[in-house]
Amino acid sequence: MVEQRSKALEQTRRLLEAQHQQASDDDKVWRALAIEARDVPLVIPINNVVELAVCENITPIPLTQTWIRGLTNLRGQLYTVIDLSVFFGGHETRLSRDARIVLLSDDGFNTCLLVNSVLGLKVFGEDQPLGDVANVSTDIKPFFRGQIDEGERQWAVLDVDALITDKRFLTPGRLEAVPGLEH
Amino acid sequence: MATTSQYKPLEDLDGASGNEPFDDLGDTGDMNMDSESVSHSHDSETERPAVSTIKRRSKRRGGRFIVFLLALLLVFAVGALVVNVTLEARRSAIEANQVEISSRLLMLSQRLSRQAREATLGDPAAYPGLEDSRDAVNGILAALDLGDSEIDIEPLVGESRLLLQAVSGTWQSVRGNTETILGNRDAVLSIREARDTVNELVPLLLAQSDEVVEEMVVEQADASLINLAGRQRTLTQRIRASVNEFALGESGAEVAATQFGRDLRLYGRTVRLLESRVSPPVAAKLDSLKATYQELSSAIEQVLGGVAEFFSAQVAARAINAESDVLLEQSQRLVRSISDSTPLPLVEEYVPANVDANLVFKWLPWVLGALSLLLLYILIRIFLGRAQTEARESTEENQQSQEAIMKLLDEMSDLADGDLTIEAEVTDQITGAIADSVNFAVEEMRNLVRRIKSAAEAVTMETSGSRQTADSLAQSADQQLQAINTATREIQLMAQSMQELSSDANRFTEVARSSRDVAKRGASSVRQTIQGMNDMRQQIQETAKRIKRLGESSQQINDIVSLITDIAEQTNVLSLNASIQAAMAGEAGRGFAVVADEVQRLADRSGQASRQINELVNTIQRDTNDAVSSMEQATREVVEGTNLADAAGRALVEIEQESEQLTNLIQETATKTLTHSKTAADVSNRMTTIRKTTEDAVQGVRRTAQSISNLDKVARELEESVSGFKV
Repeated sequence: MVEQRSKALEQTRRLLEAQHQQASDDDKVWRALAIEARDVPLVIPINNVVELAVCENITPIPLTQTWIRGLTNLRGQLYTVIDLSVFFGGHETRLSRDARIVLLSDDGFNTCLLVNSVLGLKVFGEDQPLGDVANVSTDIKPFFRGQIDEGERQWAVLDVDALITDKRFLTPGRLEAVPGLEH
Repeated sequence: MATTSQYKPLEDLDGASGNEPFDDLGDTGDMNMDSESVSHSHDSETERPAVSTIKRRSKRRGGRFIVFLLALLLVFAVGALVVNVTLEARRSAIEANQVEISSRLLMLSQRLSRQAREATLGDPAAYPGLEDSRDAVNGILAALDLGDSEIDIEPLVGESRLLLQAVSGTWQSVRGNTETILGNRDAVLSIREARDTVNELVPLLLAQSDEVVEEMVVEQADASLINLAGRQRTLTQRIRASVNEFALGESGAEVAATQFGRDLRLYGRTVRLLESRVSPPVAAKLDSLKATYQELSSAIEQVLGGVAEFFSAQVAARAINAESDVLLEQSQRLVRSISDSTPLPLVEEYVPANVDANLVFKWLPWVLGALSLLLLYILIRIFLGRAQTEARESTEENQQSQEAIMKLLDEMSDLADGDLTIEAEVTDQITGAIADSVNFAVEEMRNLVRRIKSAAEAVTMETSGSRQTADSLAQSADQQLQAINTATREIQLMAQSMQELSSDANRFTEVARSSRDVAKRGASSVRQTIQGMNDMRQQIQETAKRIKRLGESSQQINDIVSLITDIAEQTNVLSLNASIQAAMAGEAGRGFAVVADEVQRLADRSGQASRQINELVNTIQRDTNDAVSSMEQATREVVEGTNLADAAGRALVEIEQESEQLTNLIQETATKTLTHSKTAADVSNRMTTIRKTTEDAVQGVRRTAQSISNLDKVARELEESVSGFKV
């Protein structure tokens, strides 16, 4: 038992050393969080992500756009939950076991994205080319930096800055829903 | 009484002998009367008087009278003879009684004398005897004088009566003396008693006197006194001698009485003298002597008191002694007189005075006997003569009868040839009645022959009918015999079939038994199967339970796996967050980023493993549920199978019962079949017997037919034979 454990620890140490060696060798890489929204594989650059959380109590906010799911309380801090699928013109994300909320570093916006699932961390080299984003409608094309082709899968790289500065994104209210408010 | 009994036979004899002659004559009369009535009855039929018979009858009547007279005489003579003999016997009996009683007087006269003597000597036993003798003599004399019917004594008569009177005279004197003795009985007995007392006292007195003398000698008393005392002894002895002499009553009795009186007085004086002179011891002795003397003295006083009566008794006894000889002699003469002759007073009355009764009694029996014999002879002669006459008459009659019979035989000779038309002549002779009877018989025979003829014809007719009937009967019997033969064969076949059937039934019984056994075994197998099914069901249910528990356990595993999945996801989130943090940390977080990556990979793998586990568990649960449902299905099927097996078992039990019943039925059938088989065999035997009987019957019918034809033949012969008679 003790031997097995010491063996496991030894393996872990070697692995870590190997990883560290590789990291020091390869300086020019960037990391991204792979997610899935509206059945589309997306990567969000890791420096735009603050935290991942399990999607729990979401309180709907009345008179908001349909892509705003509501508010959620995370460790005492309120975050606005944006349903990215709906925002991209898709179906409402179902709150399954795999559904996650991704907290974005948005300088005080306190925005988080509701995604179908988090697929994991992806490491890309700096030299890996960004292709044109396919498979998306033109109206949402501005929110992607490009697309990384990994052969078997094409990752659309989300441009968080473009998203949070978009006019649509910044008008969450649904005035037309309230008669008389337009005037 | 004795007299009447003596006379009674005489009367009987007389009556009997009186009737006998009449009976004899009556017999002859009856004989004649019979022949007369026969001839008379004959007369009434034939109307012819018998003249010769009347003649004979009148001739016989004359002789019969004579015979009657002779017989009467004979009877009279015999009766007289019997009377005579009876009277003679009576006379001798009376005489014997008188002799016997008078001879007793001889003995009594002697006995009286002796008894009187003994009585006067003072024997008390003699007195009753004396009285008896006296009474006996009195009784005898009275009986002889007056007669005594009780002892059957007749009074004496004639010379004997005179002698009896003499005896009575002497007896008067003897009886007076006897009475004297009996009257002085007390005095005599008293003297006798006193004498005995004296005889007793004298020895005592002698002894006491001796003692007195001895005492005086011892005391040396006066010699004269001693002499006086010694004389007392002599006196005593003399007194005893005198008293005894007196008591004998002889001639010296009176002298002896005076002597002992004097001696006694002397003795008394001497005692008184001694009393006054002797010393006291002697006086004491003398006192006892004196007491004895007083007793002696009183006894002698007693003797002297009865002297007069004693002497008169003595005198009477001597007188009796003297008279008894006279009495004896007179009595002897009386006895002789009685036994010599004593005529019977009864007969004496019928004998004439001038005829000597004794002579008549002596000769009368002889005379009567001779007369009787003579009469008897005459009667016999008469009867013999009559028998000869009758023999002659009967010879004549026989001759006449023979002639008549010959005539009748002539007339009847045609009858032998079968002529039944004849008629015999009826005459007054002896054959008349026979002829009449023959005529009647022939008439009857005619009728009989006629009837026989008609009967024979009828028999012939009937036999021919009967023969036809018998023939048809024989045919029927033959048919019956054939039918019986057929029936017998069929019944024998039936009996055989029955026996085969019986053996088949036995085999069936075996088969049914084995089928019953098989059913039994099947039932037990089914029961075992049911048991096995039940066990199986239980095991299946047990297994289902376990599998259910397994499913529950896998559910728990699922729960745990989901927990692990949660943990893996959280770990994944954490590792991602850690990676994010490490990335934000820049160069410093590079190492941490590696660890976070590694953690993330582990979390991914564990999540994947959890999902696999989850899938596996789900598969297990699905399979488990399938298994449970299939097991339930199996259980249901097992239950159904059990029910089916149960039904099968019940069916087998029913089969077993049915087999049992079948066995029993077959057994019964076998038994019945056997019985039927036996019955059939019996029936077969009986049929055989019936066949034999029927054969016998057929033969009998044939014989009957034969007999009937024989009978027919015989009837025809009878007809032919009867046709020979002329009617």
